Amino acid sequence: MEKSDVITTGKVLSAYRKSIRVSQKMISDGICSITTYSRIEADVRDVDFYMLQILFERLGVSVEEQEIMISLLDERLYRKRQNVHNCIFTKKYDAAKTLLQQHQNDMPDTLIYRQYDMYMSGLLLFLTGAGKDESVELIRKALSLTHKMTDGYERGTLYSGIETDMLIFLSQHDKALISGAIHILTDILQHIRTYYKGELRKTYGGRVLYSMARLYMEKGRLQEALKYALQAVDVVGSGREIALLPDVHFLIAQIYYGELQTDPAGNKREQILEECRMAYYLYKLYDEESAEKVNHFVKDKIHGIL
Amino acid sequence: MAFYEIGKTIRLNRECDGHTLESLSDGICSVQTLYRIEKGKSRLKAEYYEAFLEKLQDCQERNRTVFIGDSPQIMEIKKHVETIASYFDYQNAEESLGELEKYLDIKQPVVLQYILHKKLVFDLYASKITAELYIQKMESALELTVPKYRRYINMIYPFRHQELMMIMSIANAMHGNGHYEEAHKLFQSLIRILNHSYICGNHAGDLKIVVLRNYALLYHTEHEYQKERILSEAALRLAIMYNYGRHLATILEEISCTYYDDDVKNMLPQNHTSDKKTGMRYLRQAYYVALARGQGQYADLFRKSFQRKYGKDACKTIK
Repeated sequence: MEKSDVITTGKVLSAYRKSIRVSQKMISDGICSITTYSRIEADVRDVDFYMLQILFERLGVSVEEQEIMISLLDERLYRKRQNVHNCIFTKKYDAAKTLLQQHQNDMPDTLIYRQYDMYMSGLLLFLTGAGKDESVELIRKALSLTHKMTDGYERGTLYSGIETDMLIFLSQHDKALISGAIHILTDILQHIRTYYKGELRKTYGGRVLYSMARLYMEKGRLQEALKYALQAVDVVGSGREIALLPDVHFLIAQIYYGELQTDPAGNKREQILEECRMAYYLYKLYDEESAEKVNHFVKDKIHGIL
Repeated sequence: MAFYEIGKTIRLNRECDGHTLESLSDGICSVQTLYRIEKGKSRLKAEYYEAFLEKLQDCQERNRTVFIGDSPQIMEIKKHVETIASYFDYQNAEESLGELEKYLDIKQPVVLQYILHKKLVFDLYASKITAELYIQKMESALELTVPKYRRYINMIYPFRHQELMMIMSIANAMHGNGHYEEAHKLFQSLIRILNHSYICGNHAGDLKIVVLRNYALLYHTEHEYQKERILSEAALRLAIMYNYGRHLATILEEISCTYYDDDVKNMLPQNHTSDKKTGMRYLRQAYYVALARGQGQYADLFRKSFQRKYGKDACKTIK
């Protein structure tokens, strides 16, 4: 490694790409032409902030780790996207829709912005229960903007954060993919472990592990479910985010409850209570409805008190 | 580590350095062009940017590049240094910092500043340096990129993330050394700056939470528990808004302390039982949040604190 001189966007992208030994084609595939990407690395072409975020994520790095001066439009769009995510996290779906509409009004008409807009619109449709089939269709279309979806999903390519999220969603809700969901999620997990670093690895790794635990739980395979849920707790707990952690603890409580049904002599009651308390106190911070759900579970299923 | 909006950064720089639109644009571009750049209505050409920096004498070293990232190797060592330091292993952290120096060009003020900042923090925690000397040296390191930084304290100067961290370190040392009035000024300035929209990003949000927590501690020292609580609750709201779990348990514990200390140290009347219950609830919540995040050491501390303060086990249901 040489001592750094003037650091530029292109130099940093190039260094990260070479450090994980991938080609310019793999990074740019579906997002822009190789020529365009090559010009970005050579610092002869400007790149907007959202494009930079996607490129960094395909390299497995969060753009949040960088220090960058951005334009007013990029800053406004970035804040709107953050606010959309915050509203979804705190279940303020109407506010999220309004912000997404504002984002749509201001965003440039490019492929990756269209993809973001379609994905978030689809996700909000799903979360509000307004149309499951429509949301799956929209998210499938959004992912196919940057990835070929001819063979179910595309193996051996690089995924940005939003692409990973879409694939996790589709593996659980798209009828064409559901039967192979575990295989898809295992592949994504492998991809994350190979390419993603730092917070990106924790955030998306946690999401995949939780999804796998839920799938195994639905299939009644409690041991596998517990294995992945406990891994998810480790990954999410060591990361930056709050979201998902109460979900994982509540899932573990339900897995233990499932084990209690098959082995009533097993001493699981105290463990269930502790997992429920962890979930309850985290939910209490931002989601009263889910906190109440945990409270009811404890009262109805194990006749306990939080 | 943070994102800065170009137009606002140039305007704040210009205003703090006493330039008018006319004087800064003179010989570079039209007044109208600079006005449009500051408002985000025109793209900033690289040659204009360099020329503005030449005129804004004091900050030309700090803003030399628009992109201020790190190579993967440097990023990895920096993360390693931060991780070791977070476990209070300052000797090993200092060794890793020495390793990092081999790869960095310390002729660059921003780079030298990073190294000095970290070294000073490690030296202070290892008691190798007095607080007075620490403040003096930290201020010198800060002035590598912002000469005479104190003249900007009452303004909104577009400090970078690293510089804001250093100001917070100085404010904490002022607090520790009994210079409360100075510490108040610095914390208030930090909050004002971090609330401005020139800076954004997750790390800027995280820094705002840490500043609020540190400022709350200053009020704690002054036994101003209600003011402490207002700041801690603001930190909690921000942590939830930014989906930031790292300090969540400790913020909850700090809020619980404000209720307890208000009750015990300020000897509130007996009928303040509702405040006592609120304090208990926060501490119990802190315990379970720490446990949920796998922060076993914190969970243990909070459980013991619960037992000591309220004579009960945090795991038992509060009736």
